[in-house]
Amino acid sequence: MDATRGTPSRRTVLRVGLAGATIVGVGGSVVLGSATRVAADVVNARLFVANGERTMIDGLVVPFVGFGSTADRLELPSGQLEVQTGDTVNLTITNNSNLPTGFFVASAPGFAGVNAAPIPVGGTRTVTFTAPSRPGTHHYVATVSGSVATGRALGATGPFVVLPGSAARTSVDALFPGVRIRARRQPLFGTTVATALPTTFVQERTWLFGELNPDTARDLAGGRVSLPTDPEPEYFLMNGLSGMLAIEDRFTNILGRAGGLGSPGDSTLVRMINTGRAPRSVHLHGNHFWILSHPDTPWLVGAFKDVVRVPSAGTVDVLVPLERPPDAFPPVSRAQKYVVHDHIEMAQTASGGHYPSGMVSELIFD
Amino acid sequence: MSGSLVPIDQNRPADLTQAVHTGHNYPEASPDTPGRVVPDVALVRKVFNDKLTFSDGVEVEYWSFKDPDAGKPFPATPTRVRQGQVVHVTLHPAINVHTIHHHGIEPSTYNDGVPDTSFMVKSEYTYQWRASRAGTFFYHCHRNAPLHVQMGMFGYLVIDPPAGRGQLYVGGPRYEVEALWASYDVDPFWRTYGHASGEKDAIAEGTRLNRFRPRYFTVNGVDAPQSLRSPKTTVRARVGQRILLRHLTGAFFPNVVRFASALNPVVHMSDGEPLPAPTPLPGNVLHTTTAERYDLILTPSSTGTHTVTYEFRHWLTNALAGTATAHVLVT
Repeated sequence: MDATRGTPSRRTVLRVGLAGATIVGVGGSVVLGSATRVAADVVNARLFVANGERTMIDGLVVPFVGFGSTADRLELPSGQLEVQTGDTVNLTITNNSNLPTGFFVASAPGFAGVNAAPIPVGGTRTVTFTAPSRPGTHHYVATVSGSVATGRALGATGPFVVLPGSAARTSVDALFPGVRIRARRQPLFGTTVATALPTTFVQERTWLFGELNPDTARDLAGGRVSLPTDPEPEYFLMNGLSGMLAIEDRFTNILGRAGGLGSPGDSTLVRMINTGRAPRSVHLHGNHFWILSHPDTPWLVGAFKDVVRVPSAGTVDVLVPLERPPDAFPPVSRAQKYVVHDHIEMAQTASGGHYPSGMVSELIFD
Repeated sequence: MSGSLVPIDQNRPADLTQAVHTGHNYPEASPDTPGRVVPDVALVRKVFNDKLTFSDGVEVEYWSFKDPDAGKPFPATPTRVRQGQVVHVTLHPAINVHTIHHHGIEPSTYNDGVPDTSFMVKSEYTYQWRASRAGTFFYHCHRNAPLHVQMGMFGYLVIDPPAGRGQLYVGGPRYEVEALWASYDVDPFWRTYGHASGEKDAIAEGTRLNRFRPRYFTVNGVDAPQSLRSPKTTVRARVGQRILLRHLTGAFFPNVVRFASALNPVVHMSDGEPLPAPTPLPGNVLHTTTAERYDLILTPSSTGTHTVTYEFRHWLTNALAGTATAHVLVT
């Protein structure tokens, strides 16, 4: 076949699996709609796993396996499951996909993790576990064909956020104890002492980073497992979106009012979850950000950086203060926009080029 | 791309959404600098190209920036100014269109050098900003960034505290010797691409900027076998002297940087801000990814040649892809 454009029938080459629900509701991070608190410390939630198709930024339709909060609609990424420390969580999962799928959350300090056995095709099972004893950010994965890596590569992931039971969800000290007291920065211009980490933040974002190779996804949806030798991804996603779509998604971009010189405005907590095989090197223009948590380098916690390494399958939480951009001259604080992107440059591409149609979004000062 | 074989990944639409067209239609302009003032320091950067020669004799093309009076530097001519100064950097793209993004500097959008949010420089533009931070930064082209950065369009940006060299930041550590070592990996195949490769229709062109398969591994463009002889990868010091190593991860592959224990590395700063506390590097190993900077004070405790080894790990598999080295020669 030759590479002519706009021939819809070519899509059938990559269409695979049962005639399942088509993807709707791309873009995150929306809280999982099917989760409810049924008692002081018990959360029930409902998840459905199914095959679907998603459309990439250049129009390619790709098979994937994902979650939905209802049986007829898939969400990409899956909804953000929010619980409080120590909750009992009852997840009832129905597997409407064409492959056996389990449920996995990696262990962490204060958390044993979850690794539920595969649910057969068409089956329903309730997975019960105890939420972590500390606030933090995690992600859940459907293990497809027995493999966590396969589930991640197919997009069957969603954020899992643990909040403090007895404090405001916007309290930095409650979410990240001991970090604020460590935070340090140099005097602006060598003379002006500026605010370090604020005590609260105004808004939150979750950025779930994912990778996709369409040929690999087709094979995985057909039952193969993910291999270390699988080829390079061709699409690089934030909350299931890339390029201008990730820039304009209101759940992904950061929009707010700038504060003053060295003092915060609509400060924003960003939970960065990396479900890809590669690390991410996330760079923000316009502002530095405070490192609130890091999975393997404790001496970075409390640092004020403009690039952070997020390891594969790891999570980093940061606070973007939305200060007035300190180096602007003449000074500005309104109507500015800055990009945020993975600085490992291959991840800024889509289908081999089309910069910047990869992992990019924006920080927008009102 | 060769002959009659059409790889399977050519076999798809590239343009059904038109969304990818935002990536090759940024304006090219030579505007005035908004709110232009008389600066404290004015620099010029011109785009040029030349070749790097590796130890196997192979020459590989690079593009970079230079001060017009410089020779043919690699990386780009360092830009060095002082905290508090109002800075002008005038870009003459010369060959094709480019931008300069001063990474870690936080100017107005108009001066941030990102085509997606402003413009590409057609013949000349003066970036204006004021340095609020001392520390180690860098500058690079942000047009078709995966390609242009890999081709070499990056260089150091160092901001000294108001009193000048010798102290890392106000209240920070003093140093007697300084090294600017940037890791950089090279995929020769990417030299077959042109400035705009992949911007418009990567599939039809066969551009594969998601495939980075480096064959050379360097510090400042110097590969390991040449590193002991090159001034770009060696620094001299005496026992007990404080050496400031301004590390820049210019590589696309993640780096694992291993320090000889006799260098006693202590990390003080990253990305232009001090760490919560000066930290002796655990295990003398630093894990780092593209665009991070770390400022380390090395205090050699014995004479000899003490080597810093840069491992480049495959971004997807973490397998060791190659190694570069730099050396502190202590007398």
